[in-house]
Amino acid sequence: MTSPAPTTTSGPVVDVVEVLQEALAAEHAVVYGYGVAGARLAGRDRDRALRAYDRHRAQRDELVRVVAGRGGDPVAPAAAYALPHPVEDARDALALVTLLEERLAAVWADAVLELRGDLQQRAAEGLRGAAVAAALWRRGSVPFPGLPERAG
Amino acid sequence: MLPGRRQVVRTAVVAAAAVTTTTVLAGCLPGDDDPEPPDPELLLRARVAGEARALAARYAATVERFPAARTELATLGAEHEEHARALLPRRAARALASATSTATATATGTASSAPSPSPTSTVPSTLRAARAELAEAERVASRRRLRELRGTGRSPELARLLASVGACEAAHAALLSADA
Repeated sequence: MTSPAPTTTSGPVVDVVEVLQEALAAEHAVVYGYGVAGARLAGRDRDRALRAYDRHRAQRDELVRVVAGRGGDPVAPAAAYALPHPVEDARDALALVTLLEERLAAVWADAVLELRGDLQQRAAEGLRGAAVAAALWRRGSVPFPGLPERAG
Repeated sequence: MLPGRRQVVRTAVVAAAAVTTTTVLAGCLPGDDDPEPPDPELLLRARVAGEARALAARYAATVERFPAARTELATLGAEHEEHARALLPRRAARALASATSTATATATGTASSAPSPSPTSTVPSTLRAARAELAEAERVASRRRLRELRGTGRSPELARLLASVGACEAAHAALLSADA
């Protein structure tokens, strides 16, 4: 783990930068995953994956700015990521991007819990974006995106 | 700086004016002799649960009009029922009922039963239009959830739940709008 600069303000124990760093680390992983999955997709799915890839890169870049703006040292992407399963065809690729968006939704949902104000709104928007993407990839809905304790 | 409890209740009441739980809140308008306003978080839970049931009722009416779409639409509608149950478990509904002592009868009635479903006649005449209308209702609801995070009187846990419910509503809108 990283050791971001603690916020200097008094008050709650929540380290805002640390929460944002977790979201940033998750976005790094998702960007990597879309890179892997995109190579196995074709046609409309590939176009959608490319758009999602760009969207997550933009979110990642924004988080880098926010973390740095709060005096943190933005976490870098990992050199390599362990994929949850081999990605050899389009079916694997769709399963991967669905899972990545679901996990990202959970990270953002936890950030909603920890953050307040504008950052909380941003976290809620991150959750919403991931939930929409996951639903479109799996072509189906779940009642409580990002809340694993309410799944199943 | 936190607004006074009274102001919180007033805000909740104003925001609720458009939805079906108005009757729950009618007895809690802050007045000079207002004894003990109910927990604002509970009011918010009740209001959003009421909205969720209203959405579920719209899906039910649409399914009634277009039975061929049942498989897809009933699933989405059932998720709104789940939202309502998560937001306002029976225990919370009872707490609300006892807090709104002057409106006990209406509160329990509204909290435990579905709002009057929109009549089938208000469902658009084509499935395409009906889906578009549901999608728009979901978008409106999702935006409202995001705004509610800004409100006071709710715990971080409720904020997380509201954000998830709003994300689900946005996902519904996207699914309904996606090309088949």
